[in-house]
Amino acid sequence: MTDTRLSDLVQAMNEGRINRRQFIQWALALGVSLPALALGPGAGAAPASPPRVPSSRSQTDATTLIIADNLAGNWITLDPARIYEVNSQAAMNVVYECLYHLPDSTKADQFEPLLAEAMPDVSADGKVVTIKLRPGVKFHNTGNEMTSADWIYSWNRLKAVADNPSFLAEYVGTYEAVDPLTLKLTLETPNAALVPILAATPLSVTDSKAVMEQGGADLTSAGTPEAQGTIDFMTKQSAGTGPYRVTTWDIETEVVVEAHADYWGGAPKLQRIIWRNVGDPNTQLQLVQTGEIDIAYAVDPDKVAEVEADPNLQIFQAPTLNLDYLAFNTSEAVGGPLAKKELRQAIAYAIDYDGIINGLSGGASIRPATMIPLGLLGTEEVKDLAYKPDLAKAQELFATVGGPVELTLTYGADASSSNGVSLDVLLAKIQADLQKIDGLTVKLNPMDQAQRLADFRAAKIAFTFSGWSADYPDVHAYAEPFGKTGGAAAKRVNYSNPQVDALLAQGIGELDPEKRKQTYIDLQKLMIDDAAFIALEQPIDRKPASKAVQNVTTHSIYMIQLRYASKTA
Amino acid sequence: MGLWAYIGRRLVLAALVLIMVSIGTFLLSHAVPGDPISAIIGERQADNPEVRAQFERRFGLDKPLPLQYAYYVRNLLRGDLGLSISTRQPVVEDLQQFVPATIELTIAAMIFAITVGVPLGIIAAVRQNRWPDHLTRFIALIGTSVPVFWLGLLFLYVFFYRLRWLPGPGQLDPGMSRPDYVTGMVTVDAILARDWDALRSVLRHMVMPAVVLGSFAMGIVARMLRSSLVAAMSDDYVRTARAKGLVERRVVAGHALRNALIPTVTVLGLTFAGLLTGAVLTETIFSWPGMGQYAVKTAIKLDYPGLLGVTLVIAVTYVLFNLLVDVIYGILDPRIRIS
Repeated sequence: MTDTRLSDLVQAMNEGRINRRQFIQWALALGVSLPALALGPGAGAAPASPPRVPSSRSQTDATTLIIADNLAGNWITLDPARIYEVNSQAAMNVVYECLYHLPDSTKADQFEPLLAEAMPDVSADGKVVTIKLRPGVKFHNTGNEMTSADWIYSWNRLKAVADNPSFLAEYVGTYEAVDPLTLKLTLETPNAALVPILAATPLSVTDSKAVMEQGGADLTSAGTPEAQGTIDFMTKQSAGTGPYRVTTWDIETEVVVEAHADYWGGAPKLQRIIWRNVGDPNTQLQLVQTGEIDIAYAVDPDKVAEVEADPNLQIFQAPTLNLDYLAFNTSEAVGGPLAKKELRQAIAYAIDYDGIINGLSGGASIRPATMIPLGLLGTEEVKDLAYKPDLAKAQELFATVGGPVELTLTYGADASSSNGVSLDVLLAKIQADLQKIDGLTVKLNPMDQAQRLADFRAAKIAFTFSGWSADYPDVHAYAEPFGKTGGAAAKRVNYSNPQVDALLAQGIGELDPEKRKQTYIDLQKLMIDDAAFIALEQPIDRKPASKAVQNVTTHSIYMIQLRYASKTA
Repeated sequence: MGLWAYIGRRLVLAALVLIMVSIGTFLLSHAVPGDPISAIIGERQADNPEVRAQFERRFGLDKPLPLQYAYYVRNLLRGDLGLSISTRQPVVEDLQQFVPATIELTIAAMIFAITVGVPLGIIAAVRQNRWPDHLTRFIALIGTSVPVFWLGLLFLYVFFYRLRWLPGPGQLDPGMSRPDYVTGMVTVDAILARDWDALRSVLRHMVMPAVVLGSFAMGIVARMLRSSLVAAMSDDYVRTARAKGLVERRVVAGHALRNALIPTVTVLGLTFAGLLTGAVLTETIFSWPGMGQYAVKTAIKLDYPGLLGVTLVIAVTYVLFNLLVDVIYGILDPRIRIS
């Protein structure tokens, strides 16, 4: 039986010309087996979505947006004091609000006031910051009016519960309420990244009265245990000012947020947004193709062409701020020969970056020069200084190390890179690339990811593959952990460069944007030369969606910008 | 020994088994290299002792191991299985949600396996070595040999994506509220709440995962029943029944089948327990909010409390089903004396 005859049958049934019983009879008469049905139209080279028949059982309409995501694997909570997951930022962005936000992450320096009335008023010495709050903002769960006391409570709580995001509270210095609509922050040193930090979702405002009614103590000291009842309330409901509030929280099935009609910015265009728990990207795509959902969170690189060819679909895409990188321990004791800069540089020259980006990742990546993603301050200016494949140069540098070298490249078993490429495949390629250097042998060492992380964090691994994602969209969010002596990532490889430290101190306190940019350019040049880390790729996020979805973009921090989302019927 | 005394004795033994399982799982899970806090602590806080201490305190990992076990047993007796490291929710609450979902899916899978497998087995035995027998053998072979993940993806592709006869993954339609929690099984709760829309929705969503999950058991039942029925059909009592002049239908249904069912029941009992605990792939493919997905998540995250909760449920399931099978044995064949 040919594909055409089968598709004719399917079409006839979908159009109501034959019923299911007749369909089966015909199909059996024509000798169709189940596998043949599966391998029928669409399974081969000519992809074609099935007819988009509006389903009577689906509640999809112009007021409901449905997104498929692996909730069970990637979501834990929307509590601002505890959230540190990536995917759930899409919901966080429409449920809780910060003083400032970044509407479009492709314009990474264009922050706008959200619950602040204007950009902050900074004193001449840069240490005192006064922020006027937007009046008339109400919490969506109680209708209580937002005041500066709520901000003080929220930030105190962030510090006190001492969960993953609590470090962000350290950046805002000491804070006080000047009046119900004014906050005053006093910093030890000027902080040029303050606005991006204040846009990080854990620093959003929570309805203090509602939390305290649920048993939340007036938390003042770090590590104060919070009652499970408060944690449950903050997990299963919401107490923010955002345009949507959580009405269903069940990450094994779905999370639903409903519009807040009394929202200070005017009622949102959608009535509700639903996240469905669907783990497999191919199934997510099938759900979009059949019209059962509107947006798929992920897509396999080899399905992108199919989406682009489908007239009913669109694809949202933009670079993330995630990085996949190689790290070398620069101490003699742990890194051995890797303590020599020349060996690290030789490795950087031996890698076929284009093969990784275009071959393995299907072109869904870009590559910065060092551990600061493209799009952030001063990165375009050093982009061309990135290491490029040059085997002769690699061999020349390797010769200065002296003698054959054997390295062990450690990575998390069963893990994948930020854009879904199996690490077994990716690192086998890197192994092959590196062994083109005469005298260099690389052994791969896949190990339990939790154990690898523990060892890496304890600076016990000589050579490893790892990943990093943004805490807040500013150059300092990467330059500090990777560049500063004792920084969160730098200490794992014992990296230290006093010149980089000095530039970091200068950069964070420099309030003039042009001077600040030059500081980070200089700093990146030093980091490129030191080669303690090699940035392999910065993935481009791609999300297939129905053409009915409008005013939605991917976002490097919120993952999907849903604040302005709407749908046509 | 009477039936009730036997059941009582087995229940006491079951309690001992569960205690051993809890100790064994506790020690084994803690012996595995790896640190659960490393799996959940963020990159920026990995070296922050205050945050690490907070997590350890919250999940009860700040005490020496023997004390952790003592607390665990004490809390277990109070019905508290601790806080799951992966979901950050009480394990009891997690299990209350996931176990009923798996039970109802497994029951549906078993209904499929029995209603299709038993008739196929009978037809194959009665029409031995003729085309219905060969067809049954083929179907049973497919059921037992096709990997669940492949069958699941195939079903989704054909019946959801191409034909649109059945809904996609999930337990209910998007945005549909779950009926009020009574048993946790959405089918039962929907009936109790007279929420017919939810009932219709959950039944439609259940068809594909139930058939996929039950296909292996269906194949086993059909093959097992066929061979035991073929053996029974040549026994003396069947010849006697025929000599009495009984019609073939009564010979098969009234005499041979009853005896042939005994080994099938054993297999069914253990298969049911196996399905309950082994629905990981089916649940993942069909986004069914059951225990299988939870078990994987707790194992990956070294979530000791969650892992212990899952293990206890599995142990209880096996112990209960072994007992149930023994009791059904006695009912099916009164000659089998429980001792």
